[in-house]
Amino acid sequence: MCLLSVVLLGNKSCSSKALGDFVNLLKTSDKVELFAVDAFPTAAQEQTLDATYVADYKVLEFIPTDPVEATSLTLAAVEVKNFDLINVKNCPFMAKYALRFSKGKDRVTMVISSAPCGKARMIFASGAKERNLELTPENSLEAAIQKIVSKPLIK
Amino acid sequence: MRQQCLTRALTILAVLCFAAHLLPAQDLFEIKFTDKANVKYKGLLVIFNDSKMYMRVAYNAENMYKVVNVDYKSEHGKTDGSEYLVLLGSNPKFITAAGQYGYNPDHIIFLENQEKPYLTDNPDDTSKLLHADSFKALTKQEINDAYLREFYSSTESDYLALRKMFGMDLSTLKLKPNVNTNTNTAGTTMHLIIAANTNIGDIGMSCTRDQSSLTAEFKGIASSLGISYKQYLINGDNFTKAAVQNTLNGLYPGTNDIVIFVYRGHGFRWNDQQGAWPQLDMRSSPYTRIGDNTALDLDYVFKTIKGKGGRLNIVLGDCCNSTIDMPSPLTGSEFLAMQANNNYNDDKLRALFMNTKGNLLATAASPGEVSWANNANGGFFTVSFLQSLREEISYLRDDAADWRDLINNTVTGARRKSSTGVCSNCTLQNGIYHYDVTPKN
Repeated sequence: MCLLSVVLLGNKSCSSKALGDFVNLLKTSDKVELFAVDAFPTAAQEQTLDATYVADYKVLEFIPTDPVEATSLTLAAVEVKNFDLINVKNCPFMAKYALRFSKGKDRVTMVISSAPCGKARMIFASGAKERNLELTPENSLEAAIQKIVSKPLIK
Repeated sequence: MRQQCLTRALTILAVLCFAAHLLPAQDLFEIKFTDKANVKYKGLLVIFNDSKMYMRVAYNAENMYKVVNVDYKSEHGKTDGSEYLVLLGSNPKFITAAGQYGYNPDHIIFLENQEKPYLTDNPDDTSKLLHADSFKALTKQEINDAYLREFYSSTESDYLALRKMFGMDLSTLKLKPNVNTNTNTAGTTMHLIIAANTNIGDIGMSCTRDQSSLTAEFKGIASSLGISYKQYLINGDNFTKAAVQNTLNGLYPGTNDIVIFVYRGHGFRWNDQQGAWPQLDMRSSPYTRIGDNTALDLDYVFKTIKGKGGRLNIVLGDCCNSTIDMPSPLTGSEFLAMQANNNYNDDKLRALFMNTKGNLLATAASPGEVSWANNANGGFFTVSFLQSLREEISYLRDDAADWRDLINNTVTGARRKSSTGVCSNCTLQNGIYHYDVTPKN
């Protein structure tokens, strides 16, 4: 295996570029919002005025984040090691959280399906085709979200 | 830059496609390489499955023509974020006279951005690394007796098997339909039902690939057996629970017919579910909510097909069996792209499909587990099934074809493909099955 290491050391991975162009927006976003959302999206014609939707997912709860937490979410969202770019799980996407990254009028929403069916769905406000990503088993993105949602409330 | 990454990703897939952790069964590859002393080597790589393969290496040395057999196993993984595959050589044995010098087995290394692999006989010394002169999958047209004799002696069982496999042995050529006194193929129909979620964003491509592989394989098998073939595809926008139920309702197999149902899509289990078999997720859009009108119990499909009275019923579910955070509705009902080469051993095919009766139900994962797929190869379980099927009916196998061996090898193959040594990001999938197949009276 040491040969492989030597040989492969010359191969720099595409790093975050492998995830797509939206990574730049994520990295330079000036606003990151975290939501708990419904498991399935709601078609536009079925959405109601008394509810809030993020990328068609009904918001169940807005989860406030401080700047440090927002940074940890951003870093985890652009970390290529958190995503399996080759293999996919044959399980249904069940949304649990949504991360909305904004910079000016540009917005990208990353909808998260949690373990054991860890997946992410990138949805672009521009209307660009959505991107499906597979979360790795020990990814830091779900861990970062879990750390935020499990913190004790200060009253 | 993006184009470079895309090209790179496609190259990874292409390499993995023909050579990585989802190696095709029973395929032949040729590799040519030249060592530092300018000795030219020609290798014939014979792949049974991703853990069982060998290479015959032919070369001239010491004024002799030499052929050596090297056993191989594959290892796949990731280093510094890059995928790699290495075929590890071992146990070199000379087929011809050995001469004065031995042969250090070569390890074959596939890098993600190289079409041709590297070879080395010393993993600790990078100065010995060689870049292959060529590497290709062999087509039927390229394989003739003279070619095989470059690597085999005329009495070797694999030489004789390969001759039969590629139609060079006149005594094995038969007119089709094959008239066999032990089996009556007249009036037998193979019904192939595939429900594949080809439209869904995350796994649609892998489902499409599996659908193509399965239809090509079973169509070829029916043709080889000289039996009728009917195919029912439930896919695209027609991928619904109603479409499966309508198909099953309209299925009337004869008492000597074979019914094969394969599901490729998402699967899950309710959080209060008791039974071991997964729910098939019959939604092709994420906007459709999971419910009684979209979920179909694989066991229900099996029991329905079993009740139709066909002679041999095979039901396979290549999907997850992991729990979702939903209870069952109260009203609920019960990884080198493979090409079908159609080089089947007719006797083994008959043993498997014509001389058996009963039922087989299998799924890709145990309760609580996910199953895996990738776009280049398809579902690990489906690919393992096709590999095992080809291995079971191969000319290169000496023992009798048997469904229990086949399904055992399928489960083992899918488990190996999902193991950390082969797929670093996967979790282990342990397929389960119910087997009730016996010899036909």
